[in-house]
Amino acid sequence: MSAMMAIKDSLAATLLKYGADIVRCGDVGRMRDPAVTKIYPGTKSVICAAFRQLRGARRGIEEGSTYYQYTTNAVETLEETVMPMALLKAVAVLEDHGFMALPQRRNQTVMQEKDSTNPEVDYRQIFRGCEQEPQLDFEQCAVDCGLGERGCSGSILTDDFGPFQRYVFILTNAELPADPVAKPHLCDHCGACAAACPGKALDLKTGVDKWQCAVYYAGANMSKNPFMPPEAFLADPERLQLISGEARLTPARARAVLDQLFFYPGVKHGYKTSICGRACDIACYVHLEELGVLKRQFHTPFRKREPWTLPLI
Amino acid sequence: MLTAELIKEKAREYGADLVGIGDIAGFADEIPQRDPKQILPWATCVIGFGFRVPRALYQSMADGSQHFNYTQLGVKTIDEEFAEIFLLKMAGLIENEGYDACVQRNISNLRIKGDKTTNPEVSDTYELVHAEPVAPGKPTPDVIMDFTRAAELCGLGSRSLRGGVLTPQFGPYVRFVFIVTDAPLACDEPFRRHLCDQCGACVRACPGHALSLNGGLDSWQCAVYYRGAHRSNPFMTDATLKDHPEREAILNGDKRFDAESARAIFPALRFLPMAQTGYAPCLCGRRCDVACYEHLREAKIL
Repeated sequence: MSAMMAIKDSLAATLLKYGADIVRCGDVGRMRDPAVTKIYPGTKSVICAAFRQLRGARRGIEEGSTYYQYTTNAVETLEETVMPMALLKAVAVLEDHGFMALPQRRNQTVMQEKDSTNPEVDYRQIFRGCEQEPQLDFEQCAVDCGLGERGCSGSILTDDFGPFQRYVFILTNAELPADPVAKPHLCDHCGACAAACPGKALDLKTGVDKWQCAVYYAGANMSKNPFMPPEAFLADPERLQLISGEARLTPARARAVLDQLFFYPGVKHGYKTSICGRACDIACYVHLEELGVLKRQFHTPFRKREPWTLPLI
Repeated sequence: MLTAELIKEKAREYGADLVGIGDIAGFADEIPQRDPKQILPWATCVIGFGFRVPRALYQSMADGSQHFNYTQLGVKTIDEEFAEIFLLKMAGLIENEGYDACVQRNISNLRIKGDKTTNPEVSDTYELVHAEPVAPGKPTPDVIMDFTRAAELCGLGSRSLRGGVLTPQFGPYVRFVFIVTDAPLACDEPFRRHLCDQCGACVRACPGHALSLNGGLDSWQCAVYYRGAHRSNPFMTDATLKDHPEREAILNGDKRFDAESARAIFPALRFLPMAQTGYAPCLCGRRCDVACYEHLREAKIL
């Protein structure tokens, strides 16, 4: 075994020990995101570590019975606790071998775009237009590292978990053996992700409208939000379109709607509770499970009945 | 193969101090909003995990030497970090075998619809007042398990006067999380003993008179004194509540608080920072639990 392969194995073992489920590595030559070398010009390899989101964390939303556990366990804890800790431990392995190693997590409230948003956090907490603080294109880097393929919804799909994972990266000047790029074979463009979105935020051609997504992630569609009172948005002239997910929202309008969505408090660390439960990802997972293409099989299918729908009042 | 023995071995390896498995049938008489079957309808069991809170964190509060570390390490770190990481590992182990694993951590700042109590440990609680069932026969969300009842059914301990769990190993110094699963595991017997002998030590110890032998815990009264409205709070100054017409009654623990009056006085009770994640600093020293622990130790129940 080569010395660099031994280092890579040690790095992967550390990441797996601290909670990662999949580790992949890409050489800088195939990384299409210019931010990689902008952030660290000495980058030779990019390591991607993916952490599963528990399927069980979404069960409560599927049943319409429990919402808190998904956001706190499958978003907040992974992003704020588990993945940062694993990154620090893994970076130490590379540093101990004399290499630079720059950890990269999603900074949820910092973005280069001037008027976009991140549905997972309060839009008012986001610092926009931060060109001096470049962020990786996480999905592009995940594909180029060989983690998986990009699905229609924009989510990364893997053989193990479908769309149910989150991931972080390490940029390093170590020339580690690269893994192959995954050959796309999971997403069959069925459109289930787009059809499932309660806010029609996903267009198969143009991608995700982030503001539209943010509003319906937070529960603006009454038929999919058991916490919305009948009097919600009563004074809104577009009420029916809004609460049925038919309204097209400008960023300004989306902000105004988000300010009125207070029916369920956020979890800690400033994360918005997901009321849609990432319906796009769930629909994708259900479809992949039905096709039998996921490596990890469960004794019971995730979806056992038609999704519930509440009446519009 | 996933067995109860393996679950228990791994739980201890990953950091749990206590682990027990409760048969789902034991939850048959739970109201739907507390029923784990409403989270996973085909669940076979509930696995309970206990994490000790270090004794010294309580002792340092009792000694008056330090208070903030109890909230930071004994409450926030266990609930927000340690137990969450643990749950991910344990549930991952179960999902690897193809079984569902629905993690249930302490939902500290939410109350089910109809529950007017509060959690003294957090800045405030929110009752899900607008919630409605998503279909006939479904419960009103969120379903939040009764952790004390679940711990009893998992064979881990018995209910204390204030509604927490008393365990033979750590008395009241323990916190819990659960996993609802369809894994076919051998279940433990429910905890049959009553560790609380109604001695009343916890009632006498509370500086806010928030506990009674007949009525249990008044959570809003507790929340006010947990934050230090009492005379024995080491951070209390002459300026605190200086112009409040009922200052003496409050500091003596004689005033009764409800949700409205408690929330009104909270802003005046800022002696230490709220922990970053919204946990209120404990300035009563959890004297109820300290008194209970000492009683259980002296009675050789621990």
